[in-house]
Formats: sequence, C-alpha cells, structure tokens
Amino acid sequence: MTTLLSVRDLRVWLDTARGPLPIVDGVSFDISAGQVFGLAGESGSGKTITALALLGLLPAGARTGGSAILDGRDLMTMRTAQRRRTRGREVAMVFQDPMSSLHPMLTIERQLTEHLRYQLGMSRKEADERAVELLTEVRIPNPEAALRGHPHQFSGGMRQRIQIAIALACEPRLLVADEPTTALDVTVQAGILRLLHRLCQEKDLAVMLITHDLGVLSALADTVTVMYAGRVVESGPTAQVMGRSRHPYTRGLVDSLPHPEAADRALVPIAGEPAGPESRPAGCAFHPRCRYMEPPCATAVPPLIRIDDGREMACPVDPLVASLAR
Amino acid sequence: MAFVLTHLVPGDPAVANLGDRASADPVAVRIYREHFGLDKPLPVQYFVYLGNLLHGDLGESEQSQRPVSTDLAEYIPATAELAITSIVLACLLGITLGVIAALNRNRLSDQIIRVVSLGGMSTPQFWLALVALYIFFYKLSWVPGSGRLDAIVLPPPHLTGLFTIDSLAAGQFDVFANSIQHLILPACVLAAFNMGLFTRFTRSAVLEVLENDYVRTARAKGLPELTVVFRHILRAASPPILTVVGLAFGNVMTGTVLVENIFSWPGIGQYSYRSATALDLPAIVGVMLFVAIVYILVNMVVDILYGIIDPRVQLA
Amino acid sequence: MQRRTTFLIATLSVLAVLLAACGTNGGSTGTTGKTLVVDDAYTWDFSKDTDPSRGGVDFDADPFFHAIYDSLLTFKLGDSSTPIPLVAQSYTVSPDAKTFTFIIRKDVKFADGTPLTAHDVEFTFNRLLNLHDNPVYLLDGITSMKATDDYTFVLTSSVPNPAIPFIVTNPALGIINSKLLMAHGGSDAANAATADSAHDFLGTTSVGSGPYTMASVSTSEVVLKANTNYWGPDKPNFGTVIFRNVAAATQLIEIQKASNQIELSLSGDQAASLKSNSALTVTSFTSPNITFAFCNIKTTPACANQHFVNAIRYGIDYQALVSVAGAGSAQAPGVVPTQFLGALTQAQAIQRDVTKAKSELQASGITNPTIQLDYTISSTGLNDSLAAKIKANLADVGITVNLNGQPSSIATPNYRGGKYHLGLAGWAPDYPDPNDYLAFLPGQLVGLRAGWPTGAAPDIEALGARAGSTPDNATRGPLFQQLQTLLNQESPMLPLIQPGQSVVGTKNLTNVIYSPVWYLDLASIGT
Repeated sequence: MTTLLSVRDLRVWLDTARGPLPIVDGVSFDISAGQVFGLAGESGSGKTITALALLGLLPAGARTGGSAILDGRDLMTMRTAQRRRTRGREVAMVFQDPMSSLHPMLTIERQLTEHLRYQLGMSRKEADERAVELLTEVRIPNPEAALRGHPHQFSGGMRQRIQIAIALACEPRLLVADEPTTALDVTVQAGILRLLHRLCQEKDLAVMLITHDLGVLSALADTVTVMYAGRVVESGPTAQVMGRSRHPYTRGLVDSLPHPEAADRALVPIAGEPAGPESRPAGCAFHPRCRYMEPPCATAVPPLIRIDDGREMACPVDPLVASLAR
Repeated sequence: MAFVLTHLVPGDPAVANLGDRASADPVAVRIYREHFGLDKPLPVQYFVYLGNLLHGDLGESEQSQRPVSTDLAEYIPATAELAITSIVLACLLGITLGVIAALNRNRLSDQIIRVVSLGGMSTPQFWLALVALYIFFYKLSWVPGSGRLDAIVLPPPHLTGLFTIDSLAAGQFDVFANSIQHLILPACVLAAFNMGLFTRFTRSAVLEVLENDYVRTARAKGLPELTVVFRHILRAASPPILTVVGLAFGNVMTGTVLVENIFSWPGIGQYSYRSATALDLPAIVGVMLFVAIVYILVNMVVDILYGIIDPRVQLA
Repeated sequence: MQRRTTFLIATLSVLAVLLAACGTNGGSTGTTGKTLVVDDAYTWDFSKDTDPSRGGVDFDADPFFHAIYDSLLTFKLGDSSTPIPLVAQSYTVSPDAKTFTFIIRKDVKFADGTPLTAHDVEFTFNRLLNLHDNPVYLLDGITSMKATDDYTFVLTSSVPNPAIPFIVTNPALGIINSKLLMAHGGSDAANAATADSAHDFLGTTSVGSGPYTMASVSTSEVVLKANTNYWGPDKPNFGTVIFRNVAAATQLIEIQKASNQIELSLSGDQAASLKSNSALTVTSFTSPNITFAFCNIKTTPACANQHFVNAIRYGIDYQALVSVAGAGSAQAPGVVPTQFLGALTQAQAIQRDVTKAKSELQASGITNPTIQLDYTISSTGLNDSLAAKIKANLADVGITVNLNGQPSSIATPNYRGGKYHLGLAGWAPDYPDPNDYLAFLPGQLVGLRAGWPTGAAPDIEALGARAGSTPDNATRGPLFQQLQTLLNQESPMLPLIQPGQSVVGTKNLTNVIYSPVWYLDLASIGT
C-alpha cells in the first residue's frame, strides 16, 4: 500500500484586521491509493476547507501554509497554471449538493466532456464516446439520451452519479467527495456509497470521503481522521477509531449515532455548539463541551500523540495519552 | 393611444407650422387643414388614421410633406446603425467591466470600475457629446467631425441604409472606413449610460452566480479561468443581463435625440425632435409606433433568448 | 490565477478600445479643392424647402434658393437699399406706383439649357399665388401678372406699392423653368394648391437659372453643384457647396479645424470666443430682425391706458437688453430696422427714464399692476434672458411681471391667436422695405395680435396708408419716420432690439457678407 498524498501541517487562515484568523490549524494525514480515507467532524470543523485547500479552490482572501505532497510534488507551492492541470486529472472533487453543483443551463454532454476535450485534448467524438462510457460506469440508464439532457431532468441521486462521472472523467488518482450523500434520500445514499467503494477498488482510486456522518465512514472508510475546530483530534484505522474511540469528542460523535441493534436507546447528542473560527477557545478547543475537562485543557493545545498501531489522539486527560506523554 | 395623446397637446398645427403671414391668411390655413385632414372632427380623423394604418399608411408628415413611412425609412437606418453599434459597444465594455468588478469584489479594480460606471450613468449625454467631440475631434483629431460621412464623401449605393454595410457590399472600403470613423464617437457617447448600467447589473448578476456550487465544480475540473468565466459564470448570469440589455433599447432611443443633434446624425432622434417642436402629428405618431414596435420586437427576442439560454424556461 | 486572468481581460478590453480609437486615426476633416461647406442649425425640413414657391421665405433655405433660382431683380453685395437688374435688365414704374414693367434679358438660360422668357416669369408668379403657401403674401394686392411678349412682364397692383421692386428680389420669386416643371406635374392654374404635384420632382431636381444646381438633398445636407450652363458673367468660385444641418455647439468645435467652411448658427458669445483664432474671420452684423414687446389691449385692458403702456416703455432698460443679446446687437429705435428706408436713428430711440415711467404709472391710476409676459422659449435662451431683464426693469417702476415662457409649438399659436398678454416676439423682414412694417398698424397682422383693431388709432392708420403708397422714396422715408415716432408715443408696440447675427468663416474666404434677404450669397463667396 503506497501513500499517494501526504499532507503535513496544513494551515488555512484569513488575514483580518485583528491578525490572522485560523480556519484549519496544522492538519496532517496520508491517503493511499485504493483506499477510502474518511474525514469526519461537525460542520465548521474545517473539513471542507481542508479539501478545497488541496484543490486550490479556497475562497479569495484565504492564505495557506504547510505541504501536501502528491507524487513528490507539493500541491501547496505549485504555480497556479500547474495547479490547475492537477485539478480533474489528478485530484477531482464531488460536492455535497447535486442540485446546485451542476450547471443548470448546460447540457450533461457539455459538462461531462468540456474538461475531457480541454485537459486530454480529445475530439468531440472521442469525448462523447468516453462520456457514454462514464455514464454507464456510474449506472445511468440510457446514457446517450442522458447526454442531451439538462440537470433539472434528473433526480438527486442521478445527478450525484453524474457529478461523480464528471469527476472521474479525466481519471484522477484522488477523488475528494464532500458529503456526497448528505443531500440524498437514505435509499439513494447506499447506492452512491457502493458506487464510490466499487470505483475505489476497481480503479485503484484513492477516495477522500468527507462527512459528518460517522455511520457512513464505519461502513466504507479504511482510515478515519476526526477534526474539531480546525484541528485533528483523533485519527487511525476505522476499526480502532470507531470501534474503540477514546477521544471524548469522537466518542460523543459515535454515541450520537442511531444504533441499529438498540433502537430503543436514546441518542446522546454532544452538549453545546461547535466553536466557529472566530470564537475558538484557548487550549483544547473542545474543552467547554467536554465532560472530562481538567484545568490544563483550557490552557495548552494538546499535541497529537501516537497511542497504538496507526492511531493518534490529542487529549491530555485520556489516561493512555497521559501515560505516554509522561 | 398615441393618436389621442398627441392630439390632446394644445396648439394648432396649422398656425404653428405655416409662415408668419400665411398663418393669418384664411385661405392658406384652409388649404393646409384640408390637405392634412385637420378640417374633420377628431373622431373622424382617428378612424381615417386607423383605416390608413391598416394599409400600412402612416399619413403624411406636415413638415416634409412626404409619407411618414418614407421619412421613417430614410431615418431609421441611420439610427439603427448608431443604436446597434452603441448597444454592442455598451455590452462588450459593460459586461467585461462588470465581470472584472465582480471577480475582484471590493478590490481596487472594483472601486475604479464603480467610479467609471457611475460616471457613465450620471454624465449628461449632451455634455458628454460635446466634450468627446472637443477632445477626440478637435484636440486629438482621432475622429472626424459630425455627420455620417465626411462632407465630400458620397454615400454608398442604397441597400440597407446602414452605410457600413452598404459600403462593404459595394466594395467601397474607403467609404466604409470613413463611416466607421464617423460612427465610433457618437456610438461611444450613446453607449456611456448603458455601459454603466450593464456594468452594474453584470457585477451583481455575476456576484450572485459566483455563490453557486457549479462555479466551483467548473473550477474543480481544471478548466481555464476564461472558460469558467464565459461559459459557466456569464451563461448563468445572462438572463438578468439580457433583460437590462432589452430595456436599454429604450435608453438608446431617448439618447439619440440629443446625440444625433450634436453629431448631426440624420436619424429618428432628430426627426422626432423636429416633429415634436413643429407639432407634426402624423410624424410624432409614426415615431411612437416605430418605438413601440422596437419595444415589442426586442421583448420578443429577449423572451426567445431566455428559452435558448436557460432550458428550464418553457416558451409559452 | 484569478488575478492573472482578470488582468488579461482588462488588457484586452483596453487594447480593443485603443484599437478602435487608433483605427480612426488620421480621419480627414478638410474639404478638398473647390468645396465650400456651410453649416446651419435649421429646423425647417428641406423636403419642403426644395420648392421656392412654398419654402422660399424660409430664412434657413434662402441662401440655397438664391443660389439656384435667379430673380427678376437683386441687390449689390452688402447693399440692400437699391434693387439692381438680374433676370430683368431694366424695369419701369408707372407714376401712380401701380404698374411695373420688367424687360427680361434675352440671354438667360436655365440649367438645362432652355432659354428663360417672360412666360416662365408669369408661370412662377402665378404658381406662387395659386399654391397659396407661405410666400403668398408677397403678391398681396397684385391684380395682374402678365407676359405681354416673350421678354416683357407686367405686374399691376390694386394700390400704389413702391415696395414691389424690393419684393421681387425675394428668393421665393426666383424664376422657375416652366416647361420642365409642367412636364413633371407643376401647375400654375387657379387650383394649383391641389393640382400641383411637382413636389417629388423638386425633391430631386432644381429648375432654376442660377449659378448653382441642386445635386442632392437630404435632411442632413444639401449639395449644390456649379451650374455648367450658367448664363452670367461670373462663374461661382466653388464647384460644390455643401449645406449641412449642424447644431450650433457642434459648429463651434468643427469650425476650428475646418477649411473653406462657414458657420451660420453661432450665438454672439460663441462667435466672440473665436475672435482670437487667427484662422477664422468672425463677423457680427446687426440683423434686420426686430425683437419687440407689445401690450395686448384685448387680453389686458390696462394696455388701452396709454400712461400704463408708457410706464412700461420708459421702464425698460434698452441698453441692458442690447448687452444681454450680445455682439452685433443694437437697440431698435422703431419697428423698421435701422438698415431700411424710413428707419429712425439711434438718437430718436426711447431711453429708459424710471422717474418718467413712475409718473406715467401714477397718471394711469392703476395701482400695483401685475402683468404676464408671454414668450417662446428659444433654443439659444435669448428670449428667457430678455424676459428676465424686462421683469427686473419693470419691478423698478412698480409693475410686477410674471414670466410665461412656452415651447414654440404652444407659444406660437397663442401669439398668432392674439392670446399673449405682455408679449415678447420677433419679426424678420419679408422684403427689405418699410412697407413690410405696416403689419404693426391697427387692424394689421401684428396689430391684431396686440388686440389693436382697425380704427383704434385713426391718425396712425391714415399716416401709414399714405406712407405705404407714396411712390417717391425721398418722401416715403420721412413719412415712415414720422409714423414710427407716433408709434413710439401712442401705440401698444414696444420695439426693443435688433439682435446681433454672427457669421464665422475660415480666413481664406472672401465676400462672406450678410444679406437681410438671402442671408449669404453663396455664388459670390471666393477664396
């Protein structure tokens, strides 16, 4: 298993009148080919910003630091033209809302072939053939007719499949899927997830799956990284992180999941609201909501500490971390 | 409607249009009234007018003593050439500036463009025309003076009445160059207001579109920025811009009155001005009908374009 | 990346604009060879003004008609006091000033080569009379017009009319090629007003014998070409004359880069601003147009009170009005312009006298009078300035003036319909003779507009009738002076000023001389 993308100390901040405002604060992770990498956390935790930073699609005004090495080249320091060529061809992205992520006025054909023709220099005929292939691959019935259609003629699930087809068109090596199922019906969700999984396996594609829904990750992801307030709080193989979660935040997320075997058990939501970038508390950003809070939590940012095979965690209260830190 | 409004204006066309002494000569006044049917009661005049209108007859201008339709046919091409050129210029400049402003929201270039567009919208056209003529003709000699052609240049053979097209069709490239030189300055002056208008509307329309996820999708495909801007952003922003461009034909029609006057441009603007000052009722009604037809046609074209641009719009 | 693209777009736009601008670089502005350009801001439509018998008294069209159509008599350049021969080599006047016999030259040819005869003259006069359009008044009182042989034309007037030789110089009476026009629908019959269908033909072809012919006509310009068949001894200097319709503000800019060009519509101030330009000749003339006020007896009963009218007459500051009107303007001492026979001198003009005005107002017995001043809003703004001045002047006397300026289309019918109160109006000469100004007398055209009916001032009416019919100019002149002195004492007419008229031409042009009848004689302009 080879590491495709290696992100180290990724930081994103906005320059404001009162100094830099960190959004993502020193995130590191690795993604391997043929694997699904899960990035979890509540909204506002910086997951999507992290992904956008990797593609170079941050909103105007955002500044970045750190590195993201793809095949020995650092995405973060690339020149803009070069960076653009990596988009679609090496790193592609599928967005959350299939309703608004497709251009409402352009045909599916146009949206599916324009980058084929631009990026890969295909002729119109070649691009159309490839488009039919792609639509077949994502299980769109009657792909030739679908090409002539417009997005509003398709259901949400179909649109998400089309989005995935668009993302896959130039055969990228990393597919970033940002909440790909959140806006869809539960029945449709499973189909999309199965599709992602199959593609990952068949094409040796690395998938970065961003979601707030740990349930989705537990079924699909090989590794999981949990973010809170712009920082990684816990990461490791899915089985460890999800099955034996240690960080109070991760545990809170897991407890808030509906449990299939205990439908009668009440869900336990995490108390309080997640902290936005403007109001992040000092120390461990989670401490105001944490049941296990101790005085040091409010002063020092806890470092990520490796606690067992592949797992890292940032919580000074955890006895295991405490013992390792000592 | 137009007929009634114009006939409600106080003032007697016969007395206003005849000479100082002839207006006091009952025979001259009677001949004038009989000639233009003004001796009949107003309702009769109206039905006569309507009847003629059905045959495409707009009546006879009291000033030129020619059929209004002949007059209009003479003046419309000049105005059309000027108005279309100015709208095209305004679109090119206004939309480009609007896109630049939106993409650089609140940066320096946005502020500069805001000043330019507000300037274009708030500068009186009369003043602008004179200043432009002074600077570009008198000081810089970039353009020739007023008129559609230099005084010594003969117009090209009549085909469409648009000198640029007629001269090309006749292979008279020197005449073509001359007509373009004469066209550019009045067209720019006439375009100033709409340029500002289009800039403002394009900016806000593009800003709205920029919020949409599909713009990010387009960028995530690695498309070059120009493709993203023109194929994705502008396409999505075009319906509101199109509406404004359609309305702009109205501004241009009013603008021609002043601009044609300053630049000695023999078009509908001058014609309507002269007709209004002379109470030339058939001519005024003719111009109003023409403007109404332009409005209807432009609206139709805009509606059709809506359907082409946005497949979700169903043509009723 | 975004920034770079933006930069690219911006650069492209700027380039496009520059290209558009540079593409027009070096546009030729001069006229080559022998082309004269004359700019005028005219409001009259040239489609009517291609027929002298219809548009021939229109000031805007007169230079053009004069160049195309020769009239029986004409004036020497710059001297409108004595008619001299043109188509008529001589003329005689009967002692009673009722019969005028014109001897036609035998060598006059129309532009198409047809010889001009007395029958063409008869046709022209008859047609003008029977079309009954604007110039018809020129033949008021004429009872017979006859070609007694091929080269003799006799006019008979019902009343003595010593103004006839002056009247026949008018461009409206330029002689028409009768054969050619009749072949294209022209008619001089009694029903010509409906039967004549030559209008379209005249829109494309001119039918005169003058030094120029009409080459093309549109609302934006009229092109004249020298008449290659011209019979006269002096061929025109310019092969082509282009008469363009150009706004005054545009003329001001364009003349400064022009050659062989004349601007006719500049205001006194605009013309004065060009005085320092060594490439131009700026000439300011006192125009023969009278700007006058009148107190309408019919709408404003106080105007019947001579003391009240005198309060206005002596309350107005004429010198202030002259300075408002700008270069070339002068006070109008009477209704007859200073250029014409029978005019009063400036020394005889009314001077402002506020004390006298106040005592006249007191004598009128009217206290705190208020009067409305009606006028046409002029494009130059002159009328507005004059009206404001009059308001201020009369306030000094104790008369309140309310200003009521209206656009021409509304004001003109009001004025002509006698609905003005205190009115401000103008009169341009129809022919350069004092008889034209009998219109200001009671019961006449202008008199009626002031609510001044026949019989209102018998002494004035009797004097006017005598002056108008006196054949001998040496007697006629003083009679008109006497008449005007009376008008200045006991009429509702208040002559104000003769506005200045400015003509700006490029320096190389000669003989750019103003004529009160046809404005400019295009054929005599040289280099």
